[in-house]
Amino acid sequence: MLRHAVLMILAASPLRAQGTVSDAFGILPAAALSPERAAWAGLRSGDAPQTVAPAPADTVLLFIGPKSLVAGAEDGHAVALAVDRHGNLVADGQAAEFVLGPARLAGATTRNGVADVLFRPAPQAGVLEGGATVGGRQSTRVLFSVTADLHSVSPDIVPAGPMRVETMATLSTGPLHDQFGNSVEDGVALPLIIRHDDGAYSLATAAAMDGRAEFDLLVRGMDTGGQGRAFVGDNGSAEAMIALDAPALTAPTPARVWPLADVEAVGLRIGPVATSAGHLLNDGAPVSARVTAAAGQVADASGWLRDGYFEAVLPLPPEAGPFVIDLVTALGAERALAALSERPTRLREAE
Amino acid sequence: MRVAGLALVFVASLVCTLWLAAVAFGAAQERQTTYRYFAQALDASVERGHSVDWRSPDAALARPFTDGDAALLGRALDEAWQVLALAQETGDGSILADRFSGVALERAALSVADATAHGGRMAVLSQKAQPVFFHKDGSLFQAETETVVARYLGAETGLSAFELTRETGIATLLNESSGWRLYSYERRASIALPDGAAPWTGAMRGFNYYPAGSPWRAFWREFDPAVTEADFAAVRALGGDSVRVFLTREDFLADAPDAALARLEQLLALAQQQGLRVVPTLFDLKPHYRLGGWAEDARYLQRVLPVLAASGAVAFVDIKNEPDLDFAAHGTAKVTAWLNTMAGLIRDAAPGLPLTVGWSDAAQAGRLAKTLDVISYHEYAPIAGTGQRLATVRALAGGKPVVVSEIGQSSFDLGFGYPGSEARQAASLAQRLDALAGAEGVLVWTLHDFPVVDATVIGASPWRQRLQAAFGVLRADGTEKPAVAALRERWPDLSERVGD
Repeated sequence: MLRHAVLMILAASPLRAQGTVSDAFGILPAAALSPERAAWAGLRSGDAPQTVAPAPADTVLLFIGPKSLVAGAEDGHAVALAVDRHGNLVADGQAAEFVLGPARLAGATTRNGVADVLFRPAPQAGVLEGGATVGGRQSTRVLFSVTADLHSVSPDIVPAGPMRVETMATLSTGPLHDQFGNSVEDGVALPLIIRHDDGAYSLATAAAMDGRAEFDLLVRGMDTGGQGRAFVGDNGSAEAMIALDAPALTAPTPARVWPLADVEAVGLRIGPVATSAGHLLNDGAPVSARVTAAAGQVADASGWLRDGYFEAVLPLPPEAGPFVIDLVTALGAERALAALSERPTRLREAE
Repeated sequence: MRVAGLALVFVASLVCTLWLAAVAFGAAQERQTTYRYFAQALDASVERGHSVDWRSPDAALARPFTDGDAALLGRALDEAWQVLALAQETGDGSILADRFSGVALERAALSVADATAHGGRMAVLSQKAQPVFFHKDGSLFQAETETVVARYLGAETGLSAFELTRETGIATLLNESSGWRLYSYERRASIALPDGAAPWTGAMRGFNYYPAGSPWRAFWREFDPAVTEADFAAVRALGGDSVRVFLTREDFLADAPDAALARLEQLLALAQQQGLRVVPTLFDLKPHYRLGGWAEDARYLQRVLPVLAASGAVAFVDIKNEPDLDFAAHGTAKVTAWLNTMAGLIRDAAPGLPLTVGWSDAAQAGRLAKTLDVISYHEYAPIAGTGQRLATVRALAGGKPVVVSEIGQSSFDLGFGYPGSEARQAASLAQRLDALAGAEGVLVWTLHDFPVVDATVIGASPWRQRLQAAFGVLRADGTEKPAVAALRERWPDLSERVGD
C-alpha cells in the first residue's frame, strides 16, 4: 500500500508538463489557448516557445501636457502611445508625426509603443488642437492651451476721485497684458493693497475680466486715505494715491444742560450728533464730554450714543453755569457753550 | 370606477419605485461590503509600502523620477500583481479594475477566466524596475521590469506543471483619477531559474530544540544566549551532534527583523562553538499559502539566507515542517508549487545550502525527491514497520541521504502508566533508534519537557497540552529521564568519531 502510494506520488511529481503554455499573465493548457490570448505580443513559453510580434498600429492615444503652457516660457510634451488591434504595443521604430496647433513635427519614432516630442508653442494665447499619426494611424483630436505669461504683466491703477465714506467705491486697473500682448485670462485674481496714512492696511481682491480688473470696496473703517498697489503674482503696480472723503459732524452739535430737583447736579444731553453725510452717528459710537462751569468746577462724562444722543448726570451746582462743553467723538472734537435751560419735556425730542 | 383605477395605478407605481430603490440600496451595500474587505483580501505587506527594487534610469527622463514617484509606482506595481494572484485564486475579477486599466485589464480578466477554468496560477515574487519613460506632466510612465515569477497548473492529483522563471518585460502605467494603474504589460524574455543541487553527506544525531522555558513562538522573542549555550552543552553531553531549530515566519518578517536575525547569528555561532550542526526549519507557523503572500515569503528568504549561508554550522535547510499536513486545507497542488518555488529561490540565492523538507510521515517522503538533497521525514507511526518504512524511503531517495528528523514519545503519565510513562518512552526510543540504525540521521523530539506549552500552536485542550509538554528526554527541572540512557547507549562518545 505504501509502495503503491509512493509510486503514485512520484508519477505525479512536477515539473514541466507537456502541452502547457505560459505568458505574461499566467499559465494554461496549450489546448485552451484562445485566439485572443494567442495574439498577445511578447514571449509565450511552452513546448514551442515563440515571441509574438505586434501588428500595425490600430489605435493611437495622444497625451499633451502640461495642459496649460505659459506663452514663451514653457515646453509642452506630446506623447503618442500606439497599440495594434490586439492591444499590443507597436513595434519599435515606427515613424510618428505630431500636429500641435499650427506646427507640424516629424522625426520621432516609437520605442516600447511610445513616441514623443518636446515642443515650444508660439507665444499667442489661446486653445490649440493637437494630433498624432503613428504608422499611418491618427489619434483623436486633443486640446491644449497657451496662457498669458503673468510674470511679464505690469498692472496699473486708473486714477479715481476721493472715496466717500460709508459708500461702495470702485477702483480699476488699466489693460492687463503680457509681453506678447496676451490679455490676462478671465478669473486671474489680483489683490489690491492700500497702505493708509495712519499705518493701517486695506485689502481688496478682484478677478480679471476682459483684460481688466475692478476692485469694489466698502469704504468703512478707514480713517485716512493712502497709497494703493495692485498685484499680478508678485508684479505690483506703481503706487496710486487714494483719497478719502471723510465725513464731519454737523457743527455745532446741540447741547443742553438743566437743573435736577433735590440734588446739587445738572443733567446733560448732547445731540442729535449728525454727520455731513446726512445721518446720525451710529449707536455705540463713543462720546466723551468735559463740562466746565463758569465758577470753575469741572465734571467729566463718557459713554455711547444712542439714537444720536448722549445723556449724563453731572455733579455740578446748577447755579454755577453757564457751562463750556468740550465734546469728543469718533469724528473729532468741538466746543459748545450751554446755559442752564429747562428740562427737556421729551427725551429724544429734536432741538 | 375611473377613480379607483387611477388609485390602483398610483399605488402600483409607488410600490414599484420603492422596490427599485430597495434593490439599488441593497446593491450599494453589497459593493460597500465587498470593497470594505478589499484591503483585508490583499496581503498585509502591501500596507507597508512596496518591494520594488528601483534602478536609476539610463538616460534623463522628461520628468524627474522622485522618491515619491518610486513609492507610488512601486506600490501600483506590487498591488497589481497581488490583485491578479488573488483574482486568479478566487475567480473574482471584479477587483482587477482597482489596479489595472486598458489593455492590461482586459488581459488580466481573460487570465482570471482561464485560471478558473483550467487551474493555472501565477505569483510575482520579486520585482526590479528601471524607468525608461516619464511624461513631463506625470500622466504616463514606463519601466523595464525584471521579475521572478512562479506559475503552476494544479490538478486534482497534484501539480501538473510548474515554472519558476526570471523574466524581463515592459510595464506601462497611466496616472488616472484613482491613481496609477497598470495599462499594459508585455513579457520580453524569460529564463528558468536553475535547478541546482547541493549534496550533503554525513551522519547526524541530535534533537529538535527549544529551550525549556520558551518553546514555539516564545523562542526568538525570549532568546537567551546563555540558556542556549547551556542547552547545546547538554546536547553534546548526551552524545548529540546536531540540533533542529525553527525560524518562524512572523519573527523574521517583522518590520524590524534585525533583532531576530542577530539572535539567529548568535545561535549559529554558539552551535559552531560547541561543534554542533544546525538544521534550520524555515517558515514555521506559516498561516496560509495565499499567492499574494508568496512575495513576502521571498522577502523572508532574502533576510535569513545570507545568515544561514554565511554560517559554517548549517548542515542543510528544512524548507517547511510537515507541509503535507497543509494539503487538505490549502490544496496539494498549491502547497507543492509553493515548496518548489521556495526551493528554487533558495537555490538561486544560496546555491551551497542543501535542502530538505520535513514530511510528517514516511509515505510522503518521496515527494520532491528529485528536487531535494536530503530526504527527511518524521516517524511517529507504530514502531512495528519502522525499518520497512525506512527501507522504502531509501529506495525512493535514489542514493540521497535519509534523515528521520523527528522521533519521539511523550512520557505523560496520568496514572498507572496511561497514556505513557518515562519507562515506556525510554523503551520506545530505544526500539525506534535501533530500527532506524540505517538512516543517515535521527533527531529526537525534543530535548526538554516544557512547563508551559504554547496554546496558540498546540491548542487549548489540556490533554493535548500535557502530552506535548512531556516529549523531552530532560525533565523540566533539567534532570535526565530513563530515555537518556537509551541515547547514550546508542550514541557513542563523540570523541570516538573521527572526521565529523
